[in-house]
Amino acid sequence: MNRLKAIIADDEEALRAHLKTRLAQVWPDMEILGEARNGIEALGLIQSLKPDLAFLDIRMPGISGMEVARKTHGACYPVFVTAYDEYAVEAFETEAVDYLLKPVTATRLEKTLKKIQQRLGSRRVEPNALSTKVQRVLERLDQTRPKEYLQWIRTQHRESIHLVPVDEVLFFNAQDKYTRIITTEAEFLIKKPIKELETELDPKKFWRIHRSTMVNIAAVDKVSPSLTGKYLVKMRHSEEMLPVSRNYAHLFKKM
Amino acid sequence: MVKQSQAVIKIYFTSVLLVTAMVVAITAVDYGEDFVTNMIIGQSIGTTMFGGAFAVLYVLRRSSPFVQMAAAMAAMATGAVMGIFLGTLAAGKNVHLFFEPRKEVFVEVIILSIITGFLFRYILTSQKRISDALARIQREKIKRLTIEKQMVETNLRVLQAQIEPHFLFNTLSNILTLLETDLDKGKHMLEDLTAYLRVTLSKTRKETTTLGQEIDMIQAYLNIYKIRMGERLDFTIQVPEYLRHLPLPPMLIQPLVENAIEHGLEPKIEGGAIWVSVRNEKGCLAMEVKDSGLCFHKNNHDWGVGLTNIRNRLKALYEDKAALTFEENTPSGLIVTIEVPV
Repeated sequence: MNRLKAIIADDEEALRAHLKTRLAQVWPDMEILGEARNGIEALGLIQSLKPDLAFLDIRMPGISGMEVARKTHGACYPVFVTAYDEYAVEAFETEAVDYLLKPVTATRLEKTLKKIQQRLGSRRVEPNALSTKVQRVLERLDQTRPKEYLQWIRTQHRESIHLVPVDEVLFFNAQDKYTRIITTEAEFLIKKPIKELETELDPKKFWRIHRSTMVNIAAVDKVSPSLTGKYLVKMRHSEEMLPVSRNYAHLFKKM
Repeated sequence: MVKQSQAVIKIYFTSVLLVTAMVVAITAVDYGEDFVTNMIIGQSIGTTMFGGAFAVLYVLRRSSPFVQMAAAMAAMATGAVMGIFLGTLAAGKNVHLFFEPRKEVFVEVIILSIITGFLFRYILTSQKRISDALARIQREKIKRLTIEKQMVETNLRVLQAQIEPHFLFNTLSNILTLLETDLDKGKHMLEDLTAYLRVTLSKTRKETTTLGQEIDMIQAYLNIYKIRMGERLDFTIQVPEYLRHLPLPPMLIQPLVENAIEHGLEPKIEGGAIWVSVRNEKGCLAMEVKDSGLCFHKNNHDWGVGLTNIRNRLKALYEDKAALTFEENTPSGLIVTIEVPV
């Protein structure tokens, strides 16, 4: 068997050095072709140097280690390195993807390397299988990792920027290409469409009630049926009566 | 509803007593007829006035106090005239014959009704004022409890969020490496981590610390990052010596620094710089954290989770007297400033 070739990707110099020393102790036969300081460099090294193995830190500037693995389509065998990520570790375990925890210890490294040697030695690993494995990890993470919701909305007025905390927003109102943000104290215009905002905000806190309106539940003053049987929502600190379209009326029937 | 009708009955009973007293007085000064006739007419006037006024106030319960008062007075005057007629009839007198010689009694009754109207109105508003005050006290109580609850919650969050596991494990890995490659650097990093942990772990249990302590902690935190990020990070801390003793709630500036590193500089390929400065301006302590990082980039939704906590804490601690403001740094990055009264 030829000497195994590998690259190491981590944004912290000391951690790259640490892994390198440990690898030299545990697997002196391995050749380290290069080191990458961020995701983009890692991608470049994999494409140009064609290593057998890539030790990829998950959290890196540019693109994450997992994105690097996905983008290389199984061109090399990835081993992920993370300081702390419960969700990723869980996904690696279920999908039998190799990973290392920082600080990397010699004992743990030996174990992992034994596994990799077996897999690489018995038969060449199918690039397609590798690539689907990584894909499955990413999909699993999408489901299990708690979603981070938007906390602040950035608005710009000429030179100055304004960050609006989402819980101060009363409602959003689509207006042509813009979205109006109405808070207790002021109004802002942003270019982001309401449809996009809907996916970024916590659905428990913000309800779409109309094609052009999304309200902050906490700021609803009252909901009353109109003469035509539709619902009208009145927000606190605002005189506007917001109509609820038929598609969203079920939200209020349960109340 | 029950409470309201009880109040109405109470007021009506008071008015009956009041009228009786007036009738006794009138009879005593030998005005009008005998006591029984006066009593019948008097109570009749009282009841119609009372009924009219209440009917009007009920109908106009959403109108302004001025409208209510004018309408109630008109209703009382009308009620008074009606009461005279009804009362005279009830006492078995001929209305025409009875009033022919004394037309001025109408004017007297109307003036009297306006005076009682004022009295009535006064009693009503003072009762309303009392219930309003009680409601206000209740509202204040709820507000205070809400703020206290928020304080406990945010403090808890601060306590939970203070040591980011990612930060801790990456730092420990660094120390482990440095112990083999650069012993002195490793020792310094361990010292800084200890200082950071000691301050972070102990101070969240206290209500206030000093600005100096907060700055020392930030210094330790940034020292650690300086070693980890190397040339990718530069930092400056500028705090006048005489401000260091000022009391300050813990973990106010640190989350700004953490946010700048985590979301601004760490994800940026070429890294950047961070400037921490504190100024004393017109009775205001202005704490500024400036970075040259990414500020906002796509899919960075958890940007500013720590800042949301700060915003809530500032509100709970200083109400409207504190401010959290943002400015864009050129060519890139963000300037976040906290201002609190000294």
